[in-house]
Amino acid sequence: MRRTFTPWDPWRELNQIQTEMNRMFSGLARPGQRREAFPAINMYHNAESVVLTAELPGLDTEKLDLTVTGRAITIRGAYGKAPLPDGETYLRQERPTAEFSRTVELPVAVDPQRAEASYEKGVLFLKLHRPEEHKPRKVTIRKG
Amino acid sequence: MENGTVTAQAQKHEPQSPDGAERARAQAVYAPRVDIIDSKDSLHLVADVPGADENDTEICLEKNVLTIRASVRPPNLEGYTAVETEYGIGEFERSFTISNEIDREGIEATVKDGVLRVRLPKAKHAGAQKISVRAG
Repeated sequence: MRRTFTPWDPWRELNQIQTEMNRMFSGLARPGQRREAFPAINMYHNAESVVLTAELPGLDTEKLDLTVTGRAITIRGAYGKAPLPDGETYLRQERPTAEFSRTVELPVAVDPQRAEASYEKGVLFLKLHRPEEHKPRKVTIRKG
Repeated sequence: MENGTVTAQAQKHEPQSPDGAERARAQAVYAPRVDIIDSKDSLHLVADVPGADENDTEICLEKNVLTIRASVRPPNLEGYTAVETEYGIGEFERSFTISNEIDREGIEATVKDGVLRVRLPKAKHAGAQKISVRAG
């Protein structure tokens, strides 16, 4: 039986712990973990902005509250559970009915003054711009 | 800090095929969450199909099986890197067996804000039919 032992790297363990801690506090799910938080969020970014999308079908946008700080966003809302009129009963009830509030940390800094949100076909689309000074910049190397 | 108090599951699931077969499709397929409401004169099916509108949705009725289908195009995010994807984007599909008491001609459906509402009216004479017996 042949075994290959990788040399023990003390920094690797510490890095793993750091990554785990970051994940735990970021409010995002680890891959494969059954996520309890609602709504599910997809997050994308490029040099200019951070985009978040969430599926919130049939939501009354009057009851939707979005808060943006420099490093986190909070999505708060409520699905009404309108009581059924007399004579009607649920044979099946799966759709969301309650209030929800979710805070997610962002991987990069954003400018809370320049946030755009839209809600179309039941999908919430949030675009956050990165402040000028935090955008990645290319560094030219001078030949000395 | 998160404090979701939502009763429904947040995860998306693949739909159960009526005959147990699996799908061979290029795009992921999910079963939409539904509410089924029974009222005196009709059955209401409400399905969450975020990302779809009335042009992306179709309803098929074959024999006793009602199938709802909705297709969703992922948002155009060219040039962006995904940081986290907690939900997949794909087609929605789910089938239901409906009883003979439904008046098929009267089925109506609307889509708004990613919610499909189907109204299935019950046939007026939904009770058992009485057949008179004559002396032969």
